[in-house]
Amino acid sequence: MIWALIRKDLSLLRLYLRSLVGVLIACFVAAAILIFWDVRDAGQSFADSRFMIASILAGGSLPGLIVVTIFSASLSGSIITLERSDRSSQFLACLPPTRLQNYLSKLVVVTSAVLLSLGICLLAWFIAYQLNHSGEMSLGSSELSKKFNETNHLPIFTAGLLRFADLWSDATLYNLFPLFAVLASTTGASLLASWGSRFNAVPAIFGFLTPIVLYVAIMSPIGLLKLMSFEEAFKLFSFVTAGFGLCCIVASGCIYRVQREF
Amino acid sequence: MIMTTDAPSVIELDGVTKRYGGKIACDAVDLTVRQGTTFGLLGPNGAGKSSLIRMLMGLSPANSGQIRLFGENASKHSTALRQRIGYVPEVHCMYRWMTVGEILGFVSKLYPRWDDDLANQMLSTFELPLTKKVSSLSKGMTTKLSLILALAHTPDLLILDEPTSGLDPIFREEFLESVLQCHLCKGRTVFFSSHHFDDVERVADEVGIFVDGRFIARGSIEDLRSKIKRVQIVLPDGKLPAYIPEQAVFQRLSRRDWTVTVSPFSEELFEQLMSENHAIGGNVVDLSLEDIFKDVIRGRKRQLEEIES
Repeated sequence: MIWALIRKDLSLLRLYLRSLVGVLIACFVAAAILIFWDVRDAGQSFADSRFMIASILAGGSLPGLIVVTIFSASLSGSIITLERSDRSSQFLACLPPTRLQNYLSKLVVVTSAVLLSLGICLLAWFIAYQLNHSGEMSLGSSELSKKFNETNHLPIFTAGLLRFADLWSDATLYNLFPLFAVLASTTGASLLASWGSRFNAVPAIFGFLTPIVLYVAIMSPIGLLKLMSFEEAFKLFSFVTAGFGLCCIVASGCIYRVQREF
Repeated sequence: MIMTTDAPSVIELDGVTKRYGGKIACDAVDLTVRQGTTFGLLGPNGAGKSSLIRMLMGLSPANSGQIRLFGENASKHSTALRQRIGYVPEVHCMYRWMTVGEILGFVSKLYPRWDDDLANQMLSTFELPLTKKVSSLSKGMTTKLSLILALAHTPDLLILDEPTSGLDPIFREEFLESVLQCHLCKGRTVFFSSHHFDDVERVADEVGIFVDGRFIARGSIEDLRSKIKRVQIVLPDGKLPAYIPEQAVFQRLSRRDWTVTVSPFSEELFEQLMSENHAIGGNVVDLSLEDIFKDVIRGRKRQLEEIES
């Protein structure tokens, strides 16, 4: 039964999911165009396919992470409101699945789509890092500077993206936690806001703004009053954001379960 | 059609009340529908029929009272309970972006008793194209699709909320034929509301006339016909009715002709009406279901007007 619901929810969001795939592909295509344009005057050394692929993957994954965040709010904001706006939620309410099963199916679809697209971006980032650090030469800062001296032309985007690829070394699961926290808060807040609206734009915007508002609300007073270091404050922000997101997901599930009027 | 008092009750309403703000849609409704019965719910617009059906389907909670379906508390709406119920709503809210084939595929996976042969048979009878989107179907076709979805899982209880409203006579005929063929002959329970008296007369064993959130008449069609009758009396010149019995549901006076609909009717009451009103002549008229409905509604309306004035 749950598979039938999941398939239905995937079909419900098919336009959004296709858009997500399309925009992610566009990120990598745009990165590729930018890199080719960037390295055209930089000499043969930058036209090395290893560096170019690494730059393209890094160049696609960086905006890809932002795209995933936006789409996590959009998908979560749409999965309930789309059924409420055309009243097909009434049709669903008359069918055998329980409300909990319906909600779980929606959560599985949204979470899977977000995690899958996030996984693609992280994988691209990881491969970019590996490519950059494989072989005889890695393009660390010193190497880039050396090449800049050789060619008198620094391909800024490529260099910047390779530096971004290098950041993967810090991107342990612990360091990726803020990213997961932000995604949990956008997803949770959008799902919760869905109950107050029949249109998906409102919960999507609410979800997208939630981590920004939380960041300002937590980081600003701490920074102004110098209560703790930036690292500690950021850690606090991450935990609060993740906790808020999970609470919103649970609260939204409770509302879905106990709602009486369709 | 099976209908015995020993049959287990499928629908039980016990003092069910539903309010929307200050307006009462259902006022302490009690009802028992037994297995194998086809119950026709008749009532004017705004009587509360759809509210009653929405409560049965768990789409709207009762403010007070209890609803039991197959002996189970309906407010819990377990999966097993819903798998025994087929529902055709008045307004179809199916997934409009799905094709007929997709929606049948989706719904069929939710019911263990889904009968593919029956669904295919109904599809070909109704000439519903599998590849057509629900959004592009006409109202009649959507109703037919809704009926396939409600019947193909061979439910023990079929709930129809004014299913034939807005359909042309041919569609209505086909629809009722399908209900009769697929459902009634198998002795299952049907609860349906309708505006069409001929539909109700054709398929219902029991009828309830529902007005202002209450049943004001209920019973088998034969019972109602034998219980509610119209008495036509010719009064003497210049005389008004001297005796109006408390059984009078509706009355109309035109010159010397006084027509009074009474419930319950009895020969004794007829004799009493004749003698106490010094009638010159009189007779008893059997009413059709439509006439019973009209007289009961008009009488109720007049009663309320009198109370208000």
